[in-house]
Parts: sequence; structure tokens; C-alpha cells
Amino acid sequence: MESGNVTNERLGSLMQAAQGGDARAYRELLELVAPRVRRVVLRVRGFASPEDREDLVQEVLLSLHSVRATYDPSRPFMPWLTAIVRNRLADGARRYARTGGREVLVDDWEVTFSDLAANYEAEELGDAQALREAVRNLPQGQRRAIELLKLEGLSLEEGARVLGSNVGALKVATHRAMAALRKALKSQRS
Amino acid sequence: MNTQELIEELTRSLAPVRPLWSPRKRAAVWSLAAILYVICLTVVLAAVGGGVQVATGGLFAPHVAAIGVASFASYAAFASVVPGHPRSAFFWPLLAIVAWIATYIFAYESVPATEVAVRQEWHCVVIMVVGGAPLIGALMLMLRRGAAFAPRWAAAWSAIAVSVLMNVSACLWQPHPNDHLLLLWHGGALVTVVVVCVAAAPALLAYHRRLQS
Repeated sequence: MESGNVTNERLGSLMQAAQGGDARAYRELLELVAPRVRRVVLRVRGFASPEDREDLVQEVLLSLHSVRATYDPSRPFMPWLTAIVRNRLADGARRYARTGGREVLVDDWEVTFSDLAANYEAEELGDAQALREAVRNLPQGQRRAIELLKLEGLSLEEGARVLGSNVGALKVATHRAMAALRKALKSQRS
Repeated sequence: MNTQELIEELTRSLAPVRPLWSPRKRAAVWSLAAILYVICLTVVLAAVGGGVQVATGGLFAPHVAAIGVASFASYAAFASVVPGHPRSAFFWPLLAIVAWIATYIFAYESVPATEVAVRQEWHCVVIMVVGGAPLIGALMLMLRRGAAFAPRWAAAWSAIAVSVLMNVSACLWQPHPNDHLLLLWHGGALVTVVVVCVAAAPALLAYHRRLQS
């Protein structure tokens, strides 16, 4: 990952400020980091779809957020970020190896079954903006379940590990979240 | 959620964090506390079991080398949870382990065949495993604050650091000849602790658990 000395120092000082809780510095840092990470991901995973590449970028940002306490301001910023990117790319590759060979991605189903009632789910969850709003309004446990399983693409076992829970409880939370989302979107439409 | 929205979300949820001390400093603190613990444990064992024999001659050098191994191995463990930390941190414990093994080789005592019985040292194994559990627990708790991208390596270095120190305690409490049976029992206990810690590492140290939205 390219880095001029000035950029390295600037990113390091922004990170240091962010560790102290400076939100403006943190936003600036993330907005400077995201395009750099995107370029690296494009170079290494050019074969992946744009959505998958952007998922990886977001995973790097999430990881940077969760491990920001490990950054040592006396050390350069780029090696720290590079290690995070490398780890997330390796995780992404392992996940693809586990699931990619067994999944067939289907983008759009215009018709799933001839009976319209069977298309209930697709119809209900069609509005992306409304869906995002509904997810944000979910109770924290249900929201985290949806984020981990549906947005971050973790398996049930991985999601349960992240939440410190078990697979059964995660399934229940996900089921309740989906029911709550359907209800919220249905009431919005009506 | 697109990336800009994620950035806004992360910025909104930003809270100050206390940066970790450097791996060197954390290792120094842990090593000092661990040595004090080993001393206290050995005193307690001596009170229960009837005295401590300070090793002289042959086994003194391995004990000193063991402290070096524990210090460098704990440094490697703490360095392994800091993304991008220079890899030279992992060179020093390897060097220390080689030196430690060399001291045992030089101090090796061959026991006459007639005296070779299956000497059982389960008590040493218990000391190393049970006595080392609080140290392992403390080390794992400290490591969880970092980013365990390679949890098995962090756990392996931790287990080595603790096991070599507990080996010192076991040997001080009940000195025995430095022969192949010492290697079997103490070395076996060390390997077992390392294997168990490495196997449990993903569950104990998975940094995903601490993902915060």
C-alpha cells in the first residue's frame, strides 16, 4: 500500500486523535483510508464482484474500528493498516473457499412460484431504504443478528461466536428480526 | 449499507479508547508478576511438601534460561496481537528456547540403567498445568485487548512462557536428575499445555467477538 511520509504522519496523527474520541478526525481518517483500501482490494481481488470488493473494504474499516486501541502512535500508521487489510483479505479468501464453491449466486428472481402469496417475502422486503431504516430500529440483539448473518455474511457458528451466544439463540433472534422487519415494512406500506 | 453510511455509523459510535501499552512494557509487567507468582507458589509448595532445594550446578543455568524464555515468549505473545508489529519480536524467544535447550543438554545426567525405573512425576505435571492456569488466564485476558489475528500463535507463545516458568517451580520444589525422564514428564507437560492452549485459542481469543458496530 503506497504511503508518502506526509500521508503516514497525517494518518497517524488522525488515528491518535480518534483514539482520544475526536469524531471529526476519525471521519477524515476513514475517508482517507477507504479509497486506499479499495485500491488494494481491487489489485488483489480484481476477480471478485464490485459488491464483494466493497464488502471487504467495509470489513477492513470495521476491523480498524474494533482494534483501534492497538495502534501505537510512536509507530508508522501504514504497516498497522496493511496488517489489518492483509488479515481481512485472508479471512475473505478462506470464507470464499468454504462457501463459494457450494453456492450459486442468484441476483434476481422475477417469479419464484406461480402462487403470488408465495412471493410474500420478496415483495415485503423490496424497498431498500425502508429496509435499512427498519433494521436500524430493531432491538440491538436482533439488529446485530441481521448485520452479522445477512450483511457481513457470517455463518451461524461464526455469528454465535461473535455475539458470545449459541446457534439456537442466534436463529431465534434472526427469526424474530425477520418477523419484525416484515411487520414494520407492511405497516409502512399500509 | 454503503461504505459512506458505514463511516458515518462508525464515527457516530466512536468512543475514546485507552491505547495499549507497547508489547515490551506489557511483557515486562507480566513477566515480573509471573516470577513473583512462581516464587510465592514455590514457597507454598515448600511449606506443604517439606522444603525447597535451590538448584545448584547443573540445573541452575536452565532455570535462569527459562526466565529468559518466559520473558521473550510473553513479548512475542503481546507483539502478535498488535497488527503490523515488526516480526523481529518472534526471533528472540526462538533464540532463548535454543539456549534453554542447550543448557539442559550440557547439564544432562545419564542415570545408571539399574536405577532407571519408571519414575512417575505426576505431581510435577499437576504443578505445571494447574499451577500455570492462573498465569495462562491472566495472559489470555491481557491478549484479548489486542487484535488476535493469529490466535494460535499468541496462545502458543503464552503457553510456552507459562510452562517454562512452572517447570522452574516444579524443579525447585522437588529437584530431580536432569535425565530423559525429566524430558518426558516436564517436556510432555509443556507440550500438552501448548497443544491445549493452541486448540482453545480461536474460542478464547477470536477478536471477532469484540466487533463493535
